[in-house]
Amino acid sequence: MNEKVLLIDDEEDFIDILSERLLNREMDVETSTSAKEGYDKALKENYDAIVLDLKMPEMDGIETLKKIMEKNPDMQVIILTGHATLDKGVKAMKLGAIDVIEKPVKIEDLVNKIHTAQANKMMIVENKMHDKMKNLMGSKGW
Amino acid sequence: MTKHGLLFFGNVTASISHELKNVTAIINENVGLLEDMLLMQQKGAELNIERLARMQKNLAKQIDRSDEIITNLNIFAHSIDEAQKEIKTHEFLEYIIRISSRLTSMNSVTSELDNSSENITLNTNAFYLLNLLWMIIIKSSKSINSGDKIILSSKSFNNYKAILINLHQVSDEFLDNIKNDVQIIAALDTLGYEIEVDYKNAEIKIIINN
Repeated sequence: MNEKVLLIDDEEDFIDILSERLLNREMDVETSTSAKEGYDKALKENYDAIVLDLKMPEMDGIETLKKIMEKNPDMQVIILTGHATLDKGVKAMKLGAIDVIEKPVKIEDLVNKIHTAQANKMMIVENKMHDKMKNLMGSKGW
Repeated sequence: MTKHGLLFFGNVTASISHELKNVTAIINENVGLLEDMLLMQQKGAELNIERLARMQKNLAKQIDRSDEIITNLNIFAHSIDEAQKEIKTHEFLEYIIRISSRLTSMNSVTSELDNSSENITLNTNAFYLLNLLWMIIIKSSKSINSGDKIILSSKSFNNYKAILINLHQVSDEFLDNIKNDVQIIAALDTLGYEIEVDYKNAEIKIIINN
């Protein structure tokens, strides 16, 4: 199944080429060069993974991550940044990011992390479905 | 160098290195895409010449960008060479605008040189004057409205020269904070300059008595 990915980064030249390379790897990619627009997209669409930069105008990556996780705690967010200080990395992981990677990144590494994100997400969905079924069966006394 | 000076040195080099990282990341993606295209060509796909031409333009753009960043870093490194140096204010203000632009843009604020500014000559410690202006610009960018501009200018008065930072609209409290900021006062003392604020016009004036 094609992974559905959202890339949020204010470096347009970067995001254009990265999205093209992920498309070449048969991923379904959307992009956003503004954190606010990216946040809106993250709430409307169901992505397997969001790849998010930390340093952006208007709303920085940490704030964007926090807002996304508040609305959707199951969202799989990978931080991809040129500014991966240890404290920012720890903060991002505490807020729920699944990984923090530094630019420039090897495409295979990013692709692997997106695969992992998709697998995590499928597991979360399956677990939720399982719990729902269990509750339903318990309530009906089957 | 004072503790504040070291902090400033760290802030500027961190900001510049981040910009360079972004350029490296774009070059990395271009090289990667080239590799993808070559692999696809080996598997029988035709090379997209138009796409190659766009990549060449993009790479040339990133080389120009990195050259500008490294030039800015080099100017900054040499700003500490001499205790007193003759500077032309316009060149100097344009330089501080360039090196602070990445951080001001994080707050959706831009800085620019006023058209009516007077290009004056100063004998100053370039490093500490950069430090002083950097602090005022970065603090201002966090306090003025998103989308607003910081307008810089220089002017000769009867008994003194001045660098003016106009913020268009800002609270009196912010201007008071600038006037009483410990780090700003330390930089002013090192330079032997004074500061005045104009609440009505939201303007900060650095008074240079030499």
